[in-house]
Amino acid sequence: MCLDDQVLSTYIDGELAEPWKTQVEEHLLHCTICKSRFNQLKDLGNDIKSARLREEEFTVQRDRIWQYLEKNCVAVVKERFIEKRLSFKAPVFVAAAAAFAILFSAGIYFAANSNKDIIPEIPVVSGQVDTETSNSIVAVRATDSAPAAMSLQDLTIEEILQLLDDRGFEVDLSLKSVEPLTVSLPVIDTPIDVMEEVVEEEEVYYDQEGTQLTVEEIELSETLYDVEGNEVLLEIIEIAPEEAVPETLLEESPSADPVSADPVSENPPVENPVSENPPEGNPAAP
Amino acid sequence: MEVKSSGYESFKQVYKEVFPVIMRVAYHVTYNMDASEDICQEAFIRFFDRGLIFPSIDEAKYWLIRVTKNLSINYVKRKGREKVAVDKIKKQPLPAAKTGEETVIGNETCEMVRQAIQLLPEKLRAVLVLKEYSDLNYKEIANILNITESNVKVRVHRAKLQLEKLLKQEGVHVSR
Repeated sequence: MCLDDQVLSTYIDGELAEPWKTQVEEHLLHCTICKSRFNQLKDLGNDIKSARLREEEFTVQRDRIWQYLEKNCVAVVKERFIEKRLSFKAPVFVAAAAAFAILFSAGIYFAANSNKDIIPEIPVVSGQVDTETSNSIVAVRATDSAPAAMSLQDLTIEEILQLLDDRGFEVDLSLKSVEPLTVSLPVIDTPIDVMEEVVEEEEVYYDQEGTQLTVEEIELSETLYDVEGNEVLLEIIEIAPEEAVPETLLEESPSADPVSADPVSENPPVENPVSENPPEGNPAAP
Repeated sequence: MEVKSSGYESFKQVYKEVFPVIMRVAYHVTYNMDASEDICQEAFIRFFDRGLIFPSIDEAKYWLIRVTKNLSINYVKRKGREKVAVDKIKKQPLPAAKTGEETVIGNETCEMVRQAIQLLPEKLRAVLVLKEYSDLNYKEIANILNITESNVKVRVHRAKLQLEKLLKQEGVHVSR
């Protein structure tokens, strides 16, 4: 019985297992038909292999892709590695940066005054800076060999800055960060006075029945009342031209100032500067 | 030896050893040098970005071959759809275009074989390319394509028979 193509093909591919492999070899020795077919398939296999893309056909591509990968992948990995090495938690970094800035300023100061009397306020600065996330110890050693040691906690930044300022140094402290820091910075939060926001109370007016008036109604109504039902007279102030201001202030009493007269007042503006009995509630009265 | 796909040294080693294989896979599936270059680059970028760990360089090679084969088949399918669309517009078949590198080879049989392989259906083509141009055995091909070894054996044989038929039509075969 002759061999079929599948067996021959598998044999040519070198994938035929024993004992069939030996059997096929023996068969091919004496069967010319199978031998012929075997040769055909072998030739076909050689033809296919001859079409193989040769090494020299893709050396350009190989080098070009490698250049690309080296630039875009490997370089990125190296960068990432450096980033990892240098990334710290923000508060720690800020504390260290602040300590460094202080030391640097102090270093300049001491270097500049090395021949003069050294004021040993901060000869050695070593302190423990507690942050929210960690208790990192920031130890900084000055180059001077002054014996005294002072903790950072003993001095506020303001005091240090004041000291340096007194000595004639202009110190500019700035914190730089790639991203805005969302964490609170315990190092510098105490000395900074936060300006209190002045919130103006909105004045509320009512009509005679005690109904609260809107802004438009206030403008239109002649008589206004406060929350307790007392009549309120609005003072309309016009800012006089700059040259006119000193004149009116000097020559006329405030009560006679026609521009500050209340238009809603039933009384006409008082022309006499010496008003003996100004009407009650007249806002023109001082 | 463990292979980290994102490690510089192992990446370099894998590139050196595996690039010829995947370049051949990409080329013999697409038969387009530019596309093959893009596909190989894409495969290695994916390999690198995934940050995988392989027990051996062979496993890394199988992964890369699998990705390259899939990218190449996708390219061919996309190209085929585009060609169908273009042919519909032109209402005439496009002549088989010869790319630069094909004419450089100058070997007629080689060129005919390459053209004949392009006519094989995708399933047979992938198996044949892996068998003939990637130096892989049936077991490895079965592993890569996630099919059985006997299936690989049958497909390889069928691919050869179809190729033989195509080459006979072209009068290429029996060059000796």
